[in-house]
Amino acid sequence: MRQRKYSIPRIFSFITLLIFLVIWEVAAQLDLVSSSFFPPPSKIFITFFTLLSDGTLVLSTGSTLFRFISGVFVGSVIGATLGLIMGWWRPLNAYLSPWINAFYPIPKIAIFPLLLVIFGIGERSKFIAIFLGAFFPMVITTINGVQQISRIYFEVGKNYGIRGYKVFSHILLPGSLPSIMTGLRLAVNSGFVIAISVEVISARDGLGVLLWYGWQTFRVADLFAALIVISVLGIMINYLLEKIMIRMIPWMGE
Amino acid sequence: MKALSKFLFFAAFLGILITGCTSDKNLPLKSKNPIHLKVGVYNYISSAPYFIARDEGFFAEQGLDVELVEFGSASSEMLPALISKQLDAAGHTLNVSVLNSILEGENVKFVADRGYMNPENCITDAWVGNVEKIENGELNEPASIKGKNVSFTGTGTIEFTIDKLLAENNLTQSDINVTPVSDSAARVESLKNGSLDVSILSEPWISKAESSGAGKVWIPVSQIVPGMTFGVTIFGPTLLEMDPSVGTAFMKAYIKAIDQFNEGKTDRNVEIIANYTKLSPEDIKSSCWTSFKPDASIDPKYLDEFQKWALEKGYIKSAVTVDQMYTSLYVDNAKK
Amino acid sequence: MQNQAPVFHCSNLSKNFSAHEKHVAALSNLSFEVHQGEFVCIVGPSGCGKSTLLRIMAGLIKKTSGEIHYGHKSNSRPQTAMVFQSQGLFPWFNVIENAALGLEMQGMDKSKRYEIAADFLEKIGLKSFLYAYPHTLSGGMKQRVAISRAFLADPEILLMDEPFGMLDAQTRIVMQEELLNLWQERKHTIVYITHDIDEAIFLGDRILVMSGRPGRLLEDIPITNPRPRERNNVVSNAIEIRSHIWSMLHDEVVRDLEKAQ
Repeated sequence: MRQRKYSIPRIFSFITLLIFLVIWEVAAQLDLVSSSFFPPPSKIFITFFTLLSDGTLVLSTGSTLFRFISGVFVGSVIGATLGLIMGWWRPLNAYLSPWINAFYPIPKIAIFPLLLVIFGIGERSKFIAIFLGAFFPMVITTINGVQQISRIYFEVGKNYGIRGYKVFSHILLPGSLPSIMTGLRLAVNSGFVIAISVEVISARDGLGVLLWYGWQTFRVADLFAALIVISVLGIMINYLLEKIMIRMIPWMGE
Repeated sequence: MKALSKFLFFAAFLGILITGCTSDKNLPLKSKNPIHLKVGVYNYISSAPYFIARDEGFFAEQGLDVELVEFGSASSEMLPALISKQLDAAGHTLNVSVLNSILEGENVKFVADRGYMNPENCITDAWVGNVEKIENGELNEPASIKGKNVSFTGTGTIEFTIDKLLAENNLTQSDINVTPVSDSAARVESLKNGSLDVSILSEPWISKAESSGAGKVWIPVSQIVPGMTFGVTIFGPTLLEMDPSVGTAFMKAYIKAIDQFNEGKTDRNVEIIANYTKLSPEDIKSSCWTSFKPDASIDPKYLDEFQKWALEKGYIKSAVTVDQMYTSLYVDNAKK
Repeated sequence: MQNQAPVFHCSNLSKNFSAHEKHVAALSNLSFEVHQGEFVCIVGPSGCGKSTLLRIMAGLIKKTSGEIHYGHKSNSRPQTAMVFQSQGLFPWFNVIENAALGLEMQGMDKSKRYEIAADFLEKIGLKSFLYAYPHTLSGGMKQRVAISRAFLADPEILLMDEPFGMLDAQTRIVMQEELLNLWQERKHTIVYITHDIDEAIFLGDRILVMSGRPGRLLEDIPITNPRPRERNNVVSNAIEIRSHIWSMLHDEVVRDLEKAQ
């Protein structure tokens, strides 16, 4: 017998969505809401499938995903690595922390024109923006992850002969892994948002470009179709992350 | 029956919430109180007639209390604001978005010129090229744009001109390397370091590019599309539904402001423009100023050409008639 | 020939902590010996430095002054292995990985050390929990794993810092008996800290009574009750020893409270 895959609350959630769509459809058709700004869901779905079948959505999604994954991957790896070192080695932490705290709150979109100038107008500047978006949350949570490792584990380590590299592999890394996973979640979501945003500003392809074109040409249904893809991507990415977390940190309780 | 009325009530409530309340501005102009209008503008020299009309009191003497609402250059919020009645008029660009909104059934229309490409004027908009490539002959003719890194932002008259330029040389956009960069400073810098070969620029950025040695004017836009309308004044649903005397009064003030603008770079004009654009008076004086039609009219043939292009590009699904897009009612009445 | 020298010996051992210009004397002039196979208990009021002493013996903290000698220094066996009050099991290791930690650090390969560890864990009743993670275990089970870890490391001296302090009374009693059973097999050398005087008398061969801060050695009391120890066996001098120790500690606790005011 198949196990029930979705719980009751989720089913209700889905039903609510359906009701909302029906209300929207009726309201838009009866012109109770401006159908220019809120095209009826039927129109949006038609547009969605048109864009899907002519390849626009697939290509755009591919471009965005490529940028997003490369930027976030590199940003996360470097962020986690630096965070581990900084968490462990206090002098480095003291030296770098002010810089990191200074740059973290700066919205990467706000400085994007600067990035364009420094790194050029091609993919590199977009990559850097996404990289930064992932790097900062990652390094900060990782540092915290190392620092919150209870001293007792290090004492156990010392007492039972854990030395050198093994301090890293047996205590530092697994001890900070939960925080690193939290950081990864932040990095991924931040990087995704930035990927879309920089595409809106300066790209030839990608979901952000679809959004931009949607407003530029006032084809709002196109825009909603892109929004649907973005939302679905967001759900999928976070779902994937959860699965990864469970595999990487089997020791955390429910 | 009860459920239906409940539903309609709820839906109507939602509708009101979203579309906002409308106010009653249908009073003819003879009433005592000045009519309050909101006009969306970009803070560029090309919006000068609005600045002048306001600061010199031309709107006021027509019985209009005009509030100018500023929008950033790359923003696409002006049209939505107009459609949702948060603006009454807008100093917009000739752009596909307006056509699509008309196709959606929104009540917006072009009503007046807000700048055209005048080949006899100095250069306000141009395709600017990297200095080395111009001097060493790599950009010696229009056809040599093939294979180059070109920057522009699309869906408007700028893209229209690049497509025209390409078509005249039997090329299409796939023959060039399109690199969208919406930030003008970044464009100038990229021209300088060679990562861009050609970029569209408007004043004051053309002057800045030339003076910093980043780029040189390669092909002025006015050379590609002489006479073409680039800027437009649009009226939105509120103003279009008012008594025509309001729109006419607006145009009277507007045209008077154009007259004053066309007096040239007087201290007063420069002062007003500086006030709104936040550029320095020196920068303003050294920039090339927009050409405005003295009677603010639009030649419909340009709208037609532009629409054909938009249709071909697939930016719009079907065409509208000229009357659906444009009404000369207000500028015609203003002349009387 | 059995090694007659003490396994551990300290004389005039003192430890001071200094933090933010405040100097705290934790231990003051401690001198005692521990011999092979002895079960030595240390009792004393809170804050008297028992844990500090144990950590110095484990090499986790450095002494301030005095001398420490370890007896037979073996290259293959670690000097000490400690059982911490809060177990200190790595949450990211399962039971068998935790228990085999010492063996792993001594270079034993995986299959061998898992085999040895599994044997031991089965012996103390954790057979069906070998691959469980610590967060799924009760306090008592966790402490059993921690004890296994220490025993499996096969140290010269086993150090135990109030290992059953956090357990409920019944579990504590059972664990004490289990510990003695384990100890009987190979007669390890154990140094065991506790608050509980009854526990110390039940478990130990000797009781070192420490004063309040700074910790001094007040008395070194041998417990000669025969083994195996029986809990309900009321031996006359056990009651005496108990009240004697309690009177010493009582004074110390009162003194501490007065000092705090």
